[in-house]
Amino acid sequence: MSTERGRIRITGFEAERVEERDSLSDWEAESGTGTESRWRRGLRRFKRNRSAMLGIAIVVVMSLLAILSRPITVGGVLVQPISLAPHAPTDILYLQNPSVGVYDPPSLAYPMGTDGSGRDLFSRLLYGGRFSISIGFIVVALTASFGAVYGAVSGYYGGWVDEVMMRIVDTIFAFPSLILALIIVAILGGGYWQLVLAFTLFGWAGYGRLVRGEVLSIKENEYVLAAKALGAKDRSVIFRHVIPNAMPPLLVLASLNIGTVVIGVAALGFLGLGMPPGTAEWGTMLDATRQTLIQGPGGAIPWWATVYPGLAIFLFVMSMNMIGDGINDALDAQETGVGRGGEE
Amino acid sequence: MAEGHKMKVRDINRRRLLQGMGAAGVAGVAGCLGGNNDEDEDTSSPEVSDREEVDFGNLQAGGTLRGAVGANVNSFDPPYSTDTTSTQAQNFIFEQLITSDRSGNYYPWLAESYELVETQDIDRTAYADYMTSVATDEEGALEIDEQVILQHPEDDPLDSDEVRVITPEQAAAAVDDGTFGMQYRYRLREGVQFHNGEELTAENVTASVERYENSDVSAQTFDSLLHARAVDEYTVDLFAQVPDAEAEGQLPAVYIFTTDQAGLEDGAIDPRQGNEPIGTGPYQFEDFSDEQYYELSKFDEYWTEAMGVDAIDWFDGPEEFPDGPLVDTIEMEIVPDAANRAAALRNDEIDITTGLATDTLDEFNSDDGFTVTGIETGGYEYIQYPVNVEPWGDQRLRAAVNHLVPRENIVQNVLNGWARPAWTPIPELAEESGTADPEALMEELRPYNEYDPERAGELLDEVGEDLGLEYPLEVTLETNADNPDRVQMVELIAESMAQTEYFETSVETYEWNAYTARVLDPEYPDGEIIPCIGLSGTFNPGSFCDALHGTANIGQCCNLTGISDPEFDELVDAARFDIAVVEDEQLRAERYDEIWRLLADRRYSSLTHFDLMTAVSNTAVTGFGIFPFDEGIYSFALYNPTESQTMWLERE
Repeated sequence: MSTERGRIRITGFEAERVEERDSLSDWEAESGTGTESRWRRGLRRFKRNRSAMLGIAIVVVMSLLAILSRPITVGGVLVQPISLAPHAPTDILYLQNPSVGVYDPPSLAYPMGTDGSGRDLFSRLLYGGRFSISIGFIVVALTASFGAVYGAVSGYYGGWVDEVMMRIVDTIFAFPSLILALIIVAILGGGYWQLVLAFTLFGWAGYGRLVRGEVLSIKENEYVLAAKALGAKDRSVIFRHVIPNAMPPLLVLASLNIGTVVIGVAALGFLGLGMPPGTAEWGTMLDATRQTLIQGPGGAIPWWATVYPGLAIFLFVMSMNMIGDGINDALDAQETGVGRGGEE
Repeated sequence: MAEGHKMKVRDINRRRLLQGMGAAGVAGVAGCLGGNNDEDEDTSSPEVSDREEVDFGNLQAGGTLRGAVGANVNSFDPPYSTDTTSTQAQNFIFEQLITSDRSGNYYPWLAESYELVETQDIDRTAYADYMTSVATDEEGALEIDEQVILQHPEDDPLDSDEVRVITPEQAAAAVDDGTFGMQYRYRLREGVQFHNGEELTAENVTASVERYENSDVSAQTFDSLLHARAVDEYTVDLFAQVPDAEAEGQLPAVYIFTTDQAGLEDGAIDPRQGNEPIGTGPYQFEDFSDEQYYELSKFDEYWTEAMGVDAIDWFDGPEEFPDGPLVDTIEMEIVPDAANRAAALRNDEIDITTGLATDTLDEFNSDDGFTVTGIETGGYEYIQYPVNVEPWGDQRLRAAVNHLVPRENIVQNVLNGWARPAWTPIPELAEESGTADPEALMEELRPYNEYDPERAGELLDEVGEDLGLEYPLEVTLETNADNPDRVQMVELIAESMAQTEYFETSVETYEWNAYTARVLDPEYPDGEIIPCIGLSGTFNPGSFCDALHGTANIGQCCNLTGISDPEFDELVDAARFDIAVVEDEQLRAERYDEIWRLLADRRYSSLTHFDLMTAVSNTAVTGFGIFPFDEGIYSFALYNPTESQTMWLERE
């Protein structure tokens, strides 16, 4: 019996006695509904939040319209054949149809009018969502993931690691985020992935700071101590116990940030630094019509050229903010102004 | 040595790259030839005049003209500035030996008279005996501090360690021995005063020419000028290197400075350097605030007023024509944004401005409170094909793309009719010596330049079959971002190409300075890129072909894609630097016709349209007449006896 040497043997717990004794309470496995998980409760509350659901609906519709606006081919294979937009976003209509002019007002054929190059604004608006919305989601996914890990590591280890990592964040916070994005775009030039990089490279700092603050309190909790006591490695403590519990405020910030990124992309576009000119990105479309806002005497401003792209940006960002607020209420995240300069 | 770099800077200035309206304030926007949105541009007649007819009997002296310009005055020092806004400001203050009317006819100005003394049939090799050898560095830059007046045409600084050149000192020696191409003699007016009281003499002219040595505009000055020599106190000779058909206008294109200022350091004639510019011009410098405004006041001792306009022997205007400009003071605001200038004009903050967006021009034109004045200018825009990158070496491919350039749409839809399609490669103002018969030229060349996707398709199929090309071809079109009209035009061309399914196009834009540096990079012609840029030509027809296609202008302004065609180079040289064309203008015009045919056939670039210069003024401005080049627009309008042009202010 050498294999059993040194093992503690506990006696006195005869199974029958325990099983047969009277129950101490009237609780039974089947009697309750069980503790509702935090996420499930959140989802339930979120569904009851009308403004948040409206936001979701708008975002879903806008995303679907963007996806279905024109066919999508990947590597020569048609993966999305539907084409809701009547014209390609780059189609200059007067080349084919001389009766179309520049800045034609909305009509049945062109429900939102034409822009300064004689392109159909409605088609461009639908298609334009592809840029703004996808950049918003990609940037937030990247920045939130990196920021979460960064903040968790910083908060969890503390000491000089925390000190160094947070000074880096402070340095990033010393610059207005749009200026940093401007610098990157100025160096790399405009374009889709350049914009993603511009907002990603420094955009994670807010998440880092937020998660670090959460982690500082989470790591004092008993379940973290327990996990440590059981010999869990730092990596699994951080990823299995710390980060999941820091998620609610992170989600709130992320959902609000999608709107911020979309506004940022539009701002760069408006400054002529985002996508190449003529791209159907909403901010770039606004930039192209900027000059029309001051007209000569008796001139009418072609309001449709600025109002519709502006409205698209407004609708999307507003919806994202409503969703963010909904998540905040649903998860009791009490998101507390962790952004810089009163941004959030 | 910084010489290599200097060459670049100089040469960009040489033919004034047009950034476009707004930002650089160079002649960007245009006036109206075509009826607005009129589909058939042939039926159009100018809706704006180039001049307001006035009765000199009603003229009023005095008042302040408030204007707005689109760019900062980078320097008040004429040889050290590279943009038209600076030249515009300098033209109030400084003058030259000659002046010109709006058709490019030259008249003596600070010179009372001038004559061509002698023309010798020589070429540049005739100076070989006077040349010295100068070492070159790896990049082909010359290691010499003096101005290189000319270089031996057989020496290539890139291939050899030494090249033979002529410096000002040796040029003087050559002239001493009677070696020169042309000699012009100028008799200066006596009693012309600078703003500081100094009297103009021949020494001022020779010292001023020296100030142009190694300056930012030395290349354009010394491509023809050999030497300046004072004969006596009021007589000066200017010598040309070789017989030059443009010598009459080119040789004396030097602003005259006071003795003190001619000796100042590079770029020092500038209030920012502590030196207020002093010239003989009708207005003297008062105040300048960088990026904000400048102010000028009338010079009381201006020579035409002192002598009376009748003292100018060629003047044949009406009796009531005044002896000098009528406006007392000039205030120019610097407002880069065209929309802001339009707003300032509407709010009565300014009386006049130029370079407004074309879509607002129509509105100003139809409003009684404003006058739009317009004239076809020498400014033009073009795209250039990457001839050194296959398959663009095939001229049929280039001809096909040329058929896809929708020139009428560009003018009607992008520029709202305020320009003229470039059916031929020369504007009206250069037609006199640029073509023997403008109408025949138009008839011959227009079919090459029509928008014709079908013909383009045929050509592309043909090329595709011969070269085994796989369509669509990917190509990038580029231009500067700060000119919205130009960007829109490039987008239109790109879309027109893409719609044929033969091309996959993309458009890239760059900030102006980054863009000019990019297109002048020696590596640039290696890319499969079609650049678009604007250029300001002159009365010289050569300015509409040589800058774009001359081998000497590769990597400089503005042979952007490395076009090298010896046949073309020879033709261009023969159309200017040849004693036969100096003496026979008709022959010169015929030689240019040959060039236009060659270019239409080989199609290295596509000119899209000729700009129309416009100025918008309120009702106070009376008698405004517009000059076809941005740099002379105000100085011409205020006072120019060649066309009895003057203006005044009538405020209610």
